[in-house]
Order: sequence, then structure tokens, then C-alpha cells
Amino acid sequence: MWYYVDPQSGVPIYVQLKEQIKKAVATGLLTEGEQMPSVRELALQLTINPNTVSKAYQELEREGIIQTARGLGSFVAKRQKGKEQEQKIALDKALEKLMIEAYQLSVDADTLHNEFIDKLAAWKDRLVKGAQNNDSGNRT
Amino acid sequence: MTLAIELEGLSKSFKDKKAVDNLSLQVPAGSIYGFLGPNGAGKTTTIKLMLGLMRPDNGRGKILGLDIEKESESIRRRTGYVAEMPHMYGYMTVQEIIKFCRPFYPVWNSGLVEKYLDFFSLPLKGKIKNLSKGMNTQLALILAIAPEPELLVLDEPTAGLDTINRQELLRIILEEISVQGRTVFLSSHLLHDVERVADQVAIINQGKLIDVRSIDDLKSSVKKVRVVFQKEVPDDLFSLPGIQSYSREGKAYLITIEDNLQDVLNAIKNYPYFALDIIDQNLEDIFIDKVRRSKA
Repeated sequence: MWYYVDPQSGVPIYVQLKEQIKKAVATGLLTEGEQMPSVRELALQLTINPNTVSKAYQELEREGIIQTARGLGSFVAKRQKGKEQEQKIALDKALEKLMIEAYQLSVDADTLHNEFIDKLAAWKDRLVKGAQNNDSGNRT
Repeated sequence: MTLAIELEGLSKSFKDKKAVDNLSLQVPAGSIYGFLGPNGAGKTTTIKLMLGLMRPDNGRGKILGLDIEKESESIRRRTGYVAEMPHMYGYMTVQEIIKFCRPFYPVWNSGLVEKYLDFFSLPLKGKIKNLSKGMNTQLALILAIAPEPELLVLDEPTAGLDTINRQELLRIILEEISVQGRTVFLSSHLLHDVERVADQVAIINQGKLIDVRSIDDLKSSVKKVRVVFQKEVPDDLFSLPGIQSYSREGKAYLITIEDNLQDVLNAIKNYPYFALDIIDQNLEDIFIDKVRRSKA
């Protein structure tokens, strides 16, 4: 099973779960429209409080990552076009974290740049196409 | 919000020792509530007061809307209870005690009883006095959940169980009580179990309530900051609101912060430092810290 929580971590369990679900969606392990396990199922599988699973699902829903249909369950949502401002803030934070790591590891700028290009190449097909070819939705 | 448990200023002394000291608690219906404290903190006494097995010297309380002094019999009929050391009639067999308990309750789910007797492979014809500690707890749990109680009270249920049995016990509590929307009150000094399943925790020591919070909230608001300054810093830096305690070794400080993290960080960052880490705290760290400070 993909999900794993460490109750003894200082990170709240619902946050751990949220991050793992986001990762599963981003890496394609969970695909658009796929049904999420029910709150009950996941709580029992992980031996955690059902309210904790609900909380993670609620936040994911607010962030537009999953959608819940009453009586039917939760599904992986269609990827939304991120709001520009939110995108910028979140991205900035993530990049800053990357820079701090690079600093601590004494990685030089060129190496960082090359690593970034490599990573970007690996992910390119999974990322939304840029503004230039926005209307060609097909992924190759 | 409906409350399953509501205690107000409960006190109980034994001779001149205060076992429970002006304790107030509110447990929302449908939650899993962790009741934490070191040995001898007053957890078992509180539970006995709640279930009407003991009378308080002061204060009052309601369980499922029923008065703990006047309606304790109804409370016990609607509440499942697994005692710390379940004292069951040792001369009875497993089968006999089930038969014996059944008539006390308006509802009795025989399917559930069979399911878990089978699951734990409890010997139906075995005498209770010959059961192991783990089997005793398992049997007590079965007897507690069979009446489909609205509230399940467990007093140190996982003490003395091995890891697998503990996890199983938690899973059964989740499956049979929590996902049905019913309430669990879980007293323990084993924090890992509570950390896994509880919504909210109350920490008590020496009969007094030290803190009540959701576990998520505790984890996000209580942090330690480890900082190595470049120069001496004034002592009054550490009197900021939110700083619970600190220790120092030369220019290195370990600071415990609660609730006011951002302001404290901003203040610290006014002084040049070599390194600054924010350390997440798990329930055990927080618990030990709080209990220690409450003694001071």
C-alpha cells in the first residue's frame, strides 16, 4: 500500500497523509477521476482516527485536488488551472527551500542549474504546457 | 456540539491526598479522546468517578447527558468499560461470563461477540483465571463492545499487550466504535497508541488538568528552537510571551515555544546567529515537557 503514516513524527498525521496523496496525484499513481479509498477504509488500513482522514480529504478538496460527491465518495479532481498569485507564492516557497538545501550542501550554481534542467526534463511531460502551446492539450 | 462527557470541578481525596483536583473536561461526542498522565496522576480515579463507581467530594459531571451521581446505573448500561486490570469472576468460563453479562444490557450484539471470540481464538470453555493477561483484556473488550455502547471507556487497555495485540485492539476500537460515530475515552500512559488514534488529548498530573488540545494543534504549536548566536544576547529576549523554558550552553540555546512561534522567531532573528533549527515535537516530547513543568 502506498500510504504510510508515522504517528510519532512531529508532523500531524493529516498533513503526512495530504502530502502523500498530493505526491500520488503528481506522480500519476492516482489518475484524474480515480476513486479515493473511503474515509473508513483508509482509517482502518492505517489504524488512525477517521476524523484525521476526513480532515486531510477536506483540505485536499479545498485545494482542488480531490472532489467529493455526496454518497459516492471522493475522486481525484481534474487538474485546475492554478490561480496565479497562489502559484507564485507556493512556488517561491518551494524554490527557497531548494536554495537553502543547495547552500547547506555547498552545491555550486552551475551544478544546481544542470540538476534542475535534468529534473525538469524528466517531469516535462507531466507538467502543464506553457502559454505558447496552451490549446494543444495532448500529451506526447 | 454534543458532549459525551462533561465534568465540572471534580475533586476526590483519599485521606489527605488529592487524587483528582478540581478537574473539568469536555469530550465531544464522536471523538476519540486521549486521557494522558503519568502513573498515579488520577486517571483511574477520574474514570471511576465518571462511571459512578466512586463518589466525588466536590463537583459534578454528566456522561451521555446523565448525572454521574444520580444516574450512574443508566450510565453504566450505555457505556462500555475496560478496566485497567479487568477483575472478572475467575471461576467462570469464557462462555459463562458472556451469558452472565448479557442480561444487564438492553442491546447485545451476539454476532460481534462471536466474530471477536473467533478472531482472538479465545477458548470458550477455558476458565477466566487461566487466561493470559492479553486474553483477559481481549475478553474484557468483547464484553464492553457487545452492548454497542455510545461511549467506550478504556483504562490503560494496551498496557501489557504486545505490539501486534495493541494494534489489533486499536483497529477494533476504530472499526466497531469510531467509524460508527460513537465516542471513545482512552486513558493511557503509552503515548504512541494515543498519538495514532486520538483527536484530542487531555494531560493531567497530580490530579490537575495541565492542558487540553487536539493532537494536531499540539504538534503545530509546540516547537523547540535550537539557535547558536554569534554574540551574547540579552536575557530578556527569553521573557517573550510564548517561551515556556530555555536552556543554554555558551552561545547555544534550546528554547521551548508554545503558540507564539512566529513572533519569537522574529525577535531571535534580530540577533546574528550561526545556526537556527526549528524542531518538531512529537506527543512524547510535549508530554514529558508539560508534566515536568507542572511539577516545578
